Amino acid sequence: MSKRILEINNLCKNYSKFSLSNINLTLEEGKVLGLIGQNGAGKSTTIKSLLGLISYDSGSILINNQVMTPDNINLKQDIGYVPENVFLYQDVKCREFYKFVKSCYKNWDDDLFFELSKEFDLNLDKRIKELSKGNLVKLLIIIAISHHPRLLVLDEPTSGLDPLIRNQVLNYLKKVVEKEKCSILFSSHITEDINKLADTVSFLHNGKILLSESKETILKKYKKVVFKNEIPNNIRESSKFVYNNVIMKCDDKDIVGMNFNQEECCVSDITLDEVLGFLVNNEKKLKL
Amino acid sequence: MIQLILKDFNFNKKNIYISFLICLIGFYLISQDGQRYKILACTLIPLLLFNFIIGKLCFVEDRDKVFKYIQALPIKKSHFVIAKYFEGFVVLVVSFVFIFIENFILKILNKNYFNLDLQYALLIFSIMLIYVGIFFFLYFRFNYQVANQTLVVFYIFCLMGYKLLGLLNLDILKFMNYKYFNIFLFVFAIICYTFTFRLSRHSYYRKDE
Repeated sequence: MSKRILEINNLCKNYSKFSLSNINLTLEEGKVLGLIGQNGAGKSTTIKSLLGLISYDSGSILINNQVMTPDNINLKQDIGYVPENVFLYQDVKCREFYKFVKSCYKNWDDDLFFELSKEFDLNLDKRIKELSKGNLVKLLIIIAISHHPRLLVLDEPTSGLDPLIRNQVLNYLKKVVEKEKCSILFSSHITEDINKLADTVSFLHNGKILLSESKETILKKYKKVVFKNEIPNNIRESSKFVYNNVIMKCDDKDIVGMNFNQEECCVSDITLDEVLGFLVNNEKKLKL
Repeated sequence: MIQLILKDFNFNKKNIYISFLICLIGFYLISQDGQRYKILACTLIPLLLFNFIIGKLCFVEDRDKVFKYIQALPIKKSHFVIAKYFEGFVVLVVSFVFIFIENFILKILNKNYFNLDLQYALLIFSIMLIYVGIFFFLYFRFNYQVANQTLVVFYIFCLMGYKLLGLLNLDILKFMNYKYFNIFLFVFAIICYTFTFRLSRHSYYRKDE
Protein backbone atom coordinates (compact mmCIF):
# COMPACT_ATOMS: atom_id res chain seq x y z
CA MET A 1 0.00 0.00 0.00
CA SER A 2 1.41 3.36 -0.98
CA LYS A 3 2.07 6.04 1.59
CA ARG A 4 -0.25 8.97 2.13
CA ILE A 5 1.49 12.26 1.59
CA LEU A 6 -1.48 14.52 2.19
CA GLU A 7 -4.56 14.02 4.30
CA ILE A 8 -7.12 16.75 4.79
CA ASN A 9 -9.94 15.91 7.19
CA ASN A 10 -13.10 17.98 7.60
CA LEU A 11 -11.37 21.24 6.84
CA CYS A 12 -13.58 24.26 7.51
CA LYS A 13 -12.80 27.91 7.03
CA ASN A 14 -15.35 30.68 7.33
CA TYR A 15 -15.20 34.11 5.77
CA SER A 16 -18.04 36.61 5.85
CA LYS A 17 -19.15 35.82 2.31
CA PHE A 18 -17.64 32.41 1.71
CA SER A 19 -16.88 29.27 3.61
CA LEU A 20 -15.05 26.03 3.03
CA SER A 21 -17.06 23.22 4.55
CA ASN A 22 -15.83 19.77 5.43
CA ILE A 23 -13.14 19.39 2.83
CA ASN A 24 -11.72 15.87 2.81
CA LEU A 25 -8.84 15.04 0.50
CA THR A 26 -6.14 12.43 0.38
CA LEU A 27 -3.12 12.15 -1.84
CA GLU A 28 -0.82 9.18 -2.12
CA GLU A 29 2.87 9.15 -2.89
CA GLY A 30 3.67 9.57 -6.58
CA LYS A 31 0.08 10.46 -7.49
CA VAL A 32 -1.50 13.59 -8.88
CA LEU A 33 -4.64 15.05 -7.37
CA GLY A 34 -6.53 17.54 -9.50
CA LEU A 35 -8.81 20.11 -7.90
CA ILE A 36 -11.41 21.31 -10.38
CA GLY A 37 -13.77 24.15 -9.75
CA GLN A 38 -15.02 27.42 -11.06
CA ASN A 39 -13.42 30.70 -9.97
CA GLY A 40 -14.26 31.22 -6.32
CA ALA A 41 -15.00 27.54 -5.66
CA GLY A 42 -12.45 27.38 -2.84
CA LYS A 43 -9.45 25.84 -4.57
CA SER A 44 -6.98 28.54 -3.58
CA THR A 45 -8.36 28.74 -0.02
CA THR A 46 -7.87 24.98 0.37
CA ILE A 47 -4.33 25.28 -0.95
CA LYS A 48 -3.48 28.28 1.23
CA SER A 49 -4.80 26.44 4.28
CA LEU A 50 -2.73 23.37 3.60
CA LEU A 51 0.39 25.47 3.12
CA GLY A 52 -0.22 27.28 6.39
CA LEU A 53 -0.60 30.63 4.62
CA ILE A 54 -3.99 31.15 6.24
CA SER A 55 -5.47 29.68 9.39
CA TYR A 56 -8.48 27.36 9.37
CA ASP A 57 -11.37 27.10 11.78
CA SER A 58 -11.61 23.34 12.22
CA GLY A 59 -10.43 20.06 10.79
CA SER A 60 -6.92 18.78 10.32
CA ILE A 61 -4.24 18.84 7.68
CA LEU A 62 -1.59 16.15 7.75
CA ILE A 63 1.36 16.22 5.42
CA ASN A 64 3.58 13.17 5.65
CA ASN A 65 1.66 12.24 8.80
CA GLN A 66 2.60 15.48 10.52
CA VAL A 67 0.19 18.27 11.39
CA MET A 68 0.69 21.28 9.18
CA THR A 69 0.98 24.59 11.04
CA PRO A 70 2.12 27.98 9.71
CA ASP A 71 5.48 27.59 11.45
CA ASN A 72 6.20 23.94 10.64
CA ILE A 73 9.41 24.67 8.78
CA ASN A 74 10.49 21.05 8.54
CA LEU A 75 7.33 20.16 6.65
CA LYS A 76 7.69 23.14 4.37
CA GLN A 77 11.13 21.84 3.38
CA ASP A 78 9.29 18.99 1.67
CA ILE A 79 6.82 21.17 -0.21
CA GLY A 80 7.21 22.99 -3.50
CA TYR A 81 4.69 25.69 -4.30
CA VAL A 82 3.69 27.51 -7.45
CA PRO A 83 1.15 30.23 -6.65
CA GLU A 84 -1.55 31.71 -8.79
CA ASN A 85 -0.99 35.18 -10.30
CA VAL A 86 2.21 35.93 -8.48
CA PHE A 87 4.23 38.99 -9.39
CA LEU A 88 7.31 38.68 -7.18
CA TYR A 89 9.96 41.39 -6.97
CA GLN A 90 9.67 42.93 -10.41
CA ASP A 91 13.08 44.65 -10.49
CA VAL A 92 15.07 41.69 -9.23
CA LYS A 93 17.01 39.42 -11.56
CA CYS A 94 15.94 35.78 -11.73
CA ARG A 95 19.41 34.73 -10.60
CA GLU A 96 19.18 36.86 -7.44
CA PHE A 97 15.72 35.56 -6.69
CA TYR A 98 16.82 31.95 -7.14
CA LYS A 99 19.73 32.55 -4.74
CA PHE A 100 17.35 33.79 -2.08
CA VAL A 101 14.99 30.80 -2.43
CA LYS A 102 17.98 28.46 -2.49
CA SER A 103 19.16 29.84 0.85
CA CYS A 104 15.86 28.73 2.42
CA TYR A 105 16.12 25.02 1.52
CA LYS A 106 18.45 22.39 2.95
CA ASN A 107 18.17 19.98 0.02
CA TRP A 108 18.62 22.48 -2.78
CA ASP A 109 20.03 20.86 -5.92
CA ASP A 110 21.91 23.42 -8.03
CA ASP A 111 22.68 20.90 -10.78
CA LEU A 112 18.99 20.14 -11.20
CA PHE A 113 18.12 23.83 -11.17
CA PHE A 114 20.58 24.75 -13.92
CA GLU A 115 19.72 21.62 -15.93
CA LEU A 116 16.04 22.58 -15.88
CA SER A 117 16.74 26.23 -16.64
CA LYS A 118 18.60 25.07 -19.73
CA GLU A 119 15.85 22.63 -20.70
CA PHE A 120 13.19 25.33 -20.29
CA ASP A 121 15.39 27.87 -22.05
CA LEU A 122 15.28 30.40 -19.22
CA ASN A 123 17.58 33.39 -19.14
CA LEU A 124 18.43 33.85 -15.46
CA ASP A 125 20.00 37.25 -16.05
CA LYS A 126 16.66 38.77 -17.00
CA ARG A 127 14.72 40.81 -14.49
CA ILE A 128 11.47 39.22 -13.30
CA LYS A 129 9.43 41.99 -14.92
CA GLU A 130 11.03 41.13 -18.27
CA LEU A 131 9.75 37.54 -18.17
CA SER A 132 6.62 36.54 -20.04
CA LYS A 133 3.85 34.88 -18.02
CA GLY A 134 4.89 31.48 -19.38
CA ASN A 135 8.53 31.99 -18.45
CA LEU A 136 7.60 33.21 -14.97
CA VAL A 137 5.56 30.04 -14.39
CA LYS A 138 8.47 27.97 -15.70
CA LEU A 139 10.86 29.74 -13.31
CA LEU A 140 8.53 29.12 -10.38
CA ILE A 141 8.09 25.47 -11.30
CA ILE A 142 11.84 24.98 -11.60
CA ILE A 143 12.37 26.69 -8.24
CA ALA A 144 9.60 24.57 -6.70
CA ILE A 145 11.18 21.35 -7.96
CA SER A 146 14.86 22.04 -7.34
CA HIS A 147 14.81 21.06 -3.68
CA HIS A 148 13.30 17.62 -4.44
CA PRO A 149 9.96 18.18 -2.72
CA ARG A 150 7.75 15.28 -1.76
CA LEU A 151 4.65 17.32 -2.36
CA LEU A 152 4.28 19.83 -5.16
CA VAL A 153 1.37 22.24 -4.82
CA LEU A 154 0.37 24.06 -7.98
CA ASP A 155 -2.34 26.69 -7.80
CA GLU A 156 -3.67 27.22 -11.33
CA PRO A 157 -0.22 27.26 -12.86
CA THR A 158 -1.43 26.96 -16.42
CA SER A 159 -4.05 29.71 -16.42
CA GLY A 160 -3.14 32.41 -18.90
CA LEU A 161 -0.54 30.30 -20.70
CA ASP A 162 -0.69 29.59 -24.41
CA PRO A 163 -1.42 25.96 -25.43
CA LEU A 164 2.16 25.26 -26.43
CA ILE A 165 3.68 26.36 -23.15
CA ARG A 166 0.84 24.67 -21.26
CA ASN A 167 1.65 21.37 -22.90
CA GLN A 168 5.33 21.81 -22.22
CA VAL A 169 4.65 22.52 -18.55
CA LEU A 170 2.24 19.58 -18.19
CA ASN A 171 4.59 17.16 -19.93
CA TYR A 172 7.36 18.26 -17.69
CA LEU A 173 5.26 17.79 -14.57
CA LYS A 174 4.46 14.26 -15.71
CA LYS A 175 8.17 13.57 -15.99
CA VAL A 176 8.75 14.99 -12.51
CA VAL A 177 6.23 12.62 -10.96
CA GLU A 178 7.86 9.65 -12.67
CA LYS A 179 11.43 10.67 -11.92
CA GLU A 180 11.17 12.19 -8.46
CA LYS A 181 8.23 10.10 -7.22
CA CYS A 182 6.73 13.28 -5.83
CA SER A 183 3.03 13.86 -5.38
CA ILE A 184 1.25 16.78 -6.97
CA LEU A 185 -1.79 18.73 -5.89
CA PHE A 186 -2.89 20.62 -8.94
CA SER A 187 -5.74 23.11 -9.04
CA SER A 188 -7.23 24.43 -12.23
CA HIS A 189 -10.43 25.47 -13.87
CA ILE A 190 -9.06 24.10 -17.15
CA THR A 191 -10.36 20.54 -17.01
CA GLU A 192 -8.26 19.57 -20.02
CA ASP A 193 -5.11 20.06 -17.95
CA ILE A 194 -6.47 18.03 -15.06
CA ASN A 195 -7.43 15.32 -17.52
CA LYS A 196 -3.89 15.15 -18.83
CA LEU A 197 -2.18 15.03 -15.47
CA ALA A 198 -4.39 13.87 -12.62
CA ASP A 199 -4.89 10.38 -11.20
CA THR A 200 -7.62 11.51 -8.83
CA VAL A 201 -10.05 14.35 -9.39
CA SER A 202 -11.95 16.40 -6.82
CA PHE A 203 -14.73 18.70 -7.93
CA LEU A 204 -15.20 21.79 -5.76
CA HIS A 205 -18.10 24.19 -5.77
CA ASN A 206 -18.98 26.93 -3.28
CA GLY A 207 -16.49 25.59 -0.76
CA LYS A 208 -17.80 22.02 -0.89
CA ILE A 209 -16.44 18.90 -2.52
CA LEU A 210 -19.11 17.58 -4.85
CA LEU A 211 -17.25 14.53 -6.05
CA SER A 212 -13.84 13.02 -5.43
CA GLU A 213 -12.76 9.88 -7.23
CA SER A 214 -10.08 8.47 -9.45
CA LYS A 215 -10.14 9.95 -12.92
CA GLU A 216 -10.42 6.53 -14.53
CA THR A 217 -13.42 5.61 -12.40
CA ILE A 218 -15.17 8.88 -13.17
CA LEU A 219 -14.66 8.57 -16.89
CA LYS A 220 -15.67 4.90 -16.83
CA LYS A 221 -18.57 5.11 -14.44
CA TYR A 222 -20.28 8.27 -15.62
CA LYS A 223 -22.01 8.40 -19.00
CA LYS A 224 -24.07 11.05 -20.64
CA VAL A 225 -27.33 10.34 -22.33
CA VAL A 226 -28.24 12.88 -25.00
CA PHE A 227 -31.88 12.95 -26.03
CA LYS A 228 -32.75 14.04 -29.54
CA ASN A 229 -35.92 15.70 -28.28
CA GLU A 230 -37.25 16.46 -24.82
CA ILE A 231 -36.36 14.10 -21.97
CA PRO A 232 -39.38 11.92 -21.07
CA ASN A 233 -40.88 13.03 -17.75
CA ASN A 234 -40.37 9.72 -15.95
CA ILE A 235 -36.66 9.80 -16.80
CA ARG A 236 -36.27 13.49 -15.92
CA GLU A 237 -37.84 12.87 -12.50
CA SER A 238 -35.69 9.85 -11.74
CA SER A 239 -32.45 11.52 -12.86
CA LYS A 240 -30.38 13.57 -10.49
CA PHE A 241 -28.17 15.22 -13.05
CA VAL A 242 -30.12 16.86 -15.84
CA TYR A 243 -29.15 19.69 -18.14
CA ASN A 244 -31.38 20.67 -21.07
CA ASN A 245 -31.83 17.46 -23.07
CA VAL A 246 -28.86 15.66 -21.54
CA ILE A 247 -28.70 13.58 -18.40
CA MET A 248 -25.69 12.14 -16.59
CA LYS A 249 -25.92 8.62 -15.25
CA CYS A 250 -23.37 7.15 -12.94
CA ASP A 251 -23.78 3.48 -13.68
CA ASP A 252 -24.23 1.27 -16.72
CA LYS A 253 -26.97 -0.54 -14.80
CA ASP A 254 -28.75 2.76 -14.38
CA ILE A 255 -28.82 3.25 -18.10
CA VAL A 256 -29.86 -0.32 -18.82
CA GLY A 257 -32.62 0.03 -16.25
CA MET A 258 -33.95 3.12 -17.89
CA ASN A 259 -36.97 2.56 -20.01
CA PHE A 260 -36.50 4.54 -23.19
CA ASN A 261 -36.39 4.15 -26.90
CA GLN A 262 -32.82 3.64 -28.16
CA GLU A 263 -33.56 5.75 -31.21
CA GLU A 264 -34.55 8.73 -29.08
CA CYS A 265 -31.17 9.13 -27.49
CA CYS A 266 -27.55 8.15 -27.56
CA VAL A 267 -25.24 7.16 -24.70
CA SER A 268 -21.69 8.40 -24.88
CA ASP A 269 -18.57 8.98 -22.79
CA ILE A 270 -18.38 12.06 -20.67
CA THR A 271 -15.62 14.62 -20.18
CA LEU A 272 -14.52 16.10 -16.85
CA ASP A 273 -15.81 19.44 -18.04
CA GLU A 274 -19.27 17.98 -18.48
CA VAL A 275 -19.17 16.20 -15.12
CA LEU A 276 -18.35 19.54 -13.49
CA GLY A 277 -21.21 21.17 -15.37
CA PHE A 278 -23.73 18.54 -14.21
CA LEU A 279 -22.52 18.63 -10.60
CA VAL A 280 -22.65 22.43 -10.41
CA ASN A 281 -26.04 22.51 -12.09
CA ASN A 282 -27.40 19.98 -9.61
CA GLU A 283 -26.08 22.03 -6.70
CA LYS A 284 -27.76 25.15 -8.02
CA LYS A 285 -31.00 23.21 -8.46
CA LEU A 286 -30.83 21.93 -4.88
CA LYS A 287 -30.17 25.44 -3.58
CA LEU A 288 -33.26 26.72 -5.36
CA MET B 1 15.77 34.89 9.34
CA ILE B 2 19.19 35.87 8.12
CA GLN B 3 18.09 34.99 4.56
CA LEU B 4 15.30 37.55 4.79
CA ILE B 5 17.61 40.30 6.00
CA LEU B 6 20.19 39.53 3.31
CA LYS B 7 17.44 39.37 0.72
CA ASP B 8 16.07 42.77 1.71
CA PHE B 9 19.45 44.47 1.43
CA ASN B 10 20.44 42.48 -1.65
CA PHE B 11 17.27 43.19 -3.62
CA ASN B 12 17.48 46.84 -2.72
CA LYS B 13 21.09 47.62 -3.57
CA LYS B 14 20.27 50.32 -6.10
CA ASN B 15 18.08 52.22 -3.64
CA ILE B 16 20.70 51.95 -0.93
CA TYR B 17 23.35 53.55 -3.16
CA ILE B 18 20.98 56.29 -4.35
CA SER B 19 19.76 57.10 -0.85
CA PHE B 20 23.30 57.41 0.53
CA LEU B 21 24.25 59.69 -2.33
CA ILE B 22 21.22 61.92 -1.70
CA CYS B 23 21.98 61.97 2.03
CA LEU B 24 25.61 62.87 1.37
CA ILE B 25 24.66 65.86 -0.75
CA GLY B 26 21.62 66.77 1.36
CA PHE B 27 23.52 66.83 4.65
CA TYR B 28 26.29 68.93 3.13
CA LEU B 29 23.82 71.48 1.72
CA ILE B 30 21.86 71.74 4.98
CA SER B 31 25.02 72.03 7.07
CA GLN B 32 26.18 75.05 5.05
CA ASP B 33 23.06 76.97 6.12
CA GLY B 34 24.07 77.12 9.76
CA GLN B 35 23.42 75.57 13.17
CA ARG B 36 19.72 76.31 13.24
CA TYR B 37 19.11 73.55 10.69
CA LYS B 38 20.73 70.90 12.86
CA ILE B 39 17.41 69.32 13.77
CA LEU B 40 16.38 69.24 10.10
CA ALA B 41 19.58 67.45 9.05
CA CYS B 42 19.42 64.99 11.92
CA THR B 43 15.82 63.98 11.23
CA LEU B 44 15.96 64.15 7.45
CA ILE B 45 18.84 61.68 7.01
CA PRO B 46 17.30 58.78 9.01
CA LEU B 47 13.89 59.49 7.50
CA LEU B 48 15.31 59.47 3.98
CA LEU B 49 17.35 56.32 4.51
CA PHE B 50 14.47 54.51 6.18
CA ASN B 51 11.95 55.40 3.49
CA PHE B 52 14.31 54.70 0.61
CA ILE B 53 15.51 51.35 1.93
CA ILE B 54 12.84 49.81 4.14
CA GLY B 55 9.85 51.85 2.97
CA LYS B 56 10.54 50.99 -0.67
CA LEU B 57 10.76 47.29 0.18
CA CYS B 58 7.55 47.40 2.15
CA PHE B 59 5.89 49.14 -0.79
CA VAL B 60 7.09 46.50 -3.30
CA GLU B 61 6.16 43.58 -1.06
CA ASP B 62 2.72 45.00 -0.45
CA ARG B 63 2.07 46.01 -4.07
CA ASP B 64 3.21 42.74 -5.58
CA LYS B 65 1.84 40.55 -2.78
CA VAL B 66 5.22 38.86 -2.56
CA PHE B 67 4.39 37.69 0.96
CA LYS B 68 1.93 35.20 -0.48
CA TYR B 69 4.86 33.39 -2.04
CA ILE B 70 7.49 33.95 0.63
CA GLN B 71 5.26 32.64 3.41
CA ALA B 72 5.15 29.27 1.69
CA LEU B 73 8.94 29.01 2.01
CA PRO B 74 10.36 27.26 5.07
CA ILE B 75 10.67 30.43 7.13
CA LYS B 76 8.78 31.13 10.36
CA LYS B 77 6.07 33.75 10.00
CA SER B 78 7.38 35.68 12.98
CA HIS B 79 10.77 35.97 11.30
CA PHE B 80 9.29 38.30 8.67
CA VAL B 81 8.35 40.71 11.43
CA ILE B 82 11.62 40.30 13.34
CA ALA B 83 13.63 40.86 10.14
CA LYS B 84 11.84 44.13 9.36
CA TYR B 85 12.22 45.44 12.93
CA PHE B 86 15.89 44.49 12.95
CA GLU B 87 16.44 46.21 9.60
CA GLY B 88 14.62 49.32 10.81
CA PHE B 89 16.89 49.53 13.87
CA VAL B 90 20.03 48.93 11.81
CA VAL B 91 19.09 51.61 9.27
CA LEU B 92 18.57 54.13 12.08
CA VAL B 93 21.91 53.29 13.69
CA VAL B 94 23.67 53.48 10.31
CA SER B 95 22.06 56.82 9.52
CA PHE B 96 23.38 58.34 12.75
CA VAL B 97 26.82 56.87 12.16
CA PHE B 98 26.62 58.42 8.69
CA ILE B 99 25.67 61.82 10.17
CA PHE B 100 28.60 61.74 12.60
CA ILE B 101 31.09 60.66 9.93
CA GLU B 102 29.99 63.28 7.41
CA ASN B 103 29.96 65.95 10.10
CA PHE B 104 33.47 64.96 11.10
CA ILE B 105 34.68 65.10 7.48
CA LEU B 106 33.13 68.56 7.06
CA LYS B 107 35.01 69.68 10.19
CA ILE B 108 38.30 68.36 8.78
CA LEU B 109 37.64 70.07 5.44
CA ASN B 110 37.02 73.37 7.24
CA LYS B 111 33.45 73.60 6.02
CA ASN B 112 30.43 74.52 8.14
CA TYR B 113 29.50 71.69 10.46
CA PHE B 114 27.05 71.03 13.27
CA ASN B 115 27.86 70.85 16.95
CA LEU B 116 26.64 67.32 17.50
CA ASP B 117 26.90 65.31 20.66
CA LEU B 118 25.67 61.90 21.73
CA GLN B 119 22.94 63.37 23.92
CA TYR B 120 21.41 65.17 20.97
CA ALA B 121 21.75 62.13 18.71
CA LEU B 122 20.08 59.97 21.36
CA LEU B 123 17.12 62.36 21.51
CA ILE B 124 16.52 62.31 17.75
CA PHE B 125 17.26 58.58 17.55
CA SER B 126 14.61 57.85 20.19
CA ILE B 127 11.98 59.90 18.36
CA MET B 128 12.84 58.17 15.08
CA LEU B 129 12.65 54.77 16.75
CA ILE B 130 9.09 55.47 17.90
CA TYR B 131 8.24 56.63 14.38
CA VAL B 132 9.64 53.43 12.83
CA GLY B 133 7.81 51.27 15.36
CA ILE B 134 4.48 52.91 14.50
CA PHE B 135 5.26 52.60 10.77
CA PHE B 136 5.87 48.85 11.06
CA PHE B 137 2.80 48.29 13.19
CA LEU B 138 0.57 50.03 10.65
CA TYR B 139 2.29 48.12 7.86
CA PHE B 140 1.77 44.68 9.39
CA ARG B 141 -1.66 45.47 10.76
CA PHE B 142 -2.98 47.11 7.60
CA ASN B 143 -0.80 47.77 4.55
CA TYR B 144 1.78 50.10 3.10
CA GLN B 145 -0.81 52.72 2.14
CA VAL B 146 -1.81 53.13 5.78
CA ALA B 147 1.78 52.88 7.04
CA ASN B 148 2.67 55.75 4.74
CA GLN B 149 0.48 57.99 6.89
CA THR B 150 2.69 57.35 9.93
CA LEU B 151 3.93 60.94 10.05
CA VAL B 152 0.35 62.14 10.47
CA VAL B 153 -0.30 59.52 13.16
CA PHE B 154 2.97 60.46 14.82
CA TYR B 155 2.06 64.15 14.76
CA ILE B 156 -1.37 63.45 16.27
CA PHE B 157 0.25 61.41 19.07
CA CYS B 158 2.70 64.23 19.81
CA LEU B 159 -0.11 66.76 19.87
CA MET B 160 -2.18 64.57 22.17
CA GLY B 161 0.83 64.08 24.46
CA TYR B 162 1.44 67.84 24.55
CA LYS B 163 -2.21 68.53 25.35
CA LEU B 164 -2.23 65.86 28.04
CA LEU B 165 0.82 67.36 29.71
CA GLY B 166 -0.88 70.76 29.53
CA LEU B 167 -4.00 69.37 31.19
CA LEU B 168 -1.87 67.88 33.94
CA ASN B 169 -0.14 71.25 34.38
CA LEU B 170 3.23 69.76 33.49
CA ASP B 171 5.78 71.87 31.63
CA ILE B 172 7.31 69.97 28.68
CA LEU B 173 10.34 72.28 28.51
CA LYS B 174 11.08 71.60 32.15
CA PHE B 175 10.96 67.91 31.34
CA MET B 176 13.29 68.29 28.39
CA ASN B 177 15.85 70.16 30.44
CA TYR B 178 15.93 67.36 32.96
CA LYS B 179 19.40 65.78 33.06
CA TYR B 180 18.30 62.28 32.25
CA PHE B 181 15.47 63.16 29.85
CA ASN B 182 17.24 61.73 26.80
CA ILE B 183 17.94 58.46 28.55
CA PHE B 184 14.34 58.24 29.72
CA LEU B 185 13.13 58.96 26.21
CA PHE B 186 15.46 56.32 24.80
CA VAL B 187 14.17 53.70 27.25
CA PHE B 188 10.62 54.77 26.42
CA ALA B 189 11.40 54.43 22.68
CA ILE B 190 12.81 50.93 23.17
CA ILE B 191 9.69 49.94 25.13
CA CYS B 192 7.49 51.39 22.35
CA TYR B 193 9.49 49.58 19.68
CA THR B 194 9.21 46.27 21.55
CA PHE B 195 5.52 46.84 22.17
CA THR B 196 4.76 47.63 18.51
CA PHE B 197 6.82 44.57 17.53
CA ARG B 198 4.60 42.34 19.64
CA LEU B 199 1.48 43.95 18.22
CA SER B 200 2.83 43.62 14.66
CA ARG B 201 3.67 39.95 15.14
CA HIS B 202 0.23 39.30 16.54
CA SER B 203 -1.47 41.17 13.68
CA TYR B 204 0.66 39.45 11.07
CA TYR B 205 -0.29 35.99 12.31
CA ARG B 206 -3.95 36.92 12.23
CA LYS B 207 -3.80 38.56 8.83
CA ASP B 208 -5.84 36.26 6.60
CA GLU B 209 -6.11 37.26 3.00
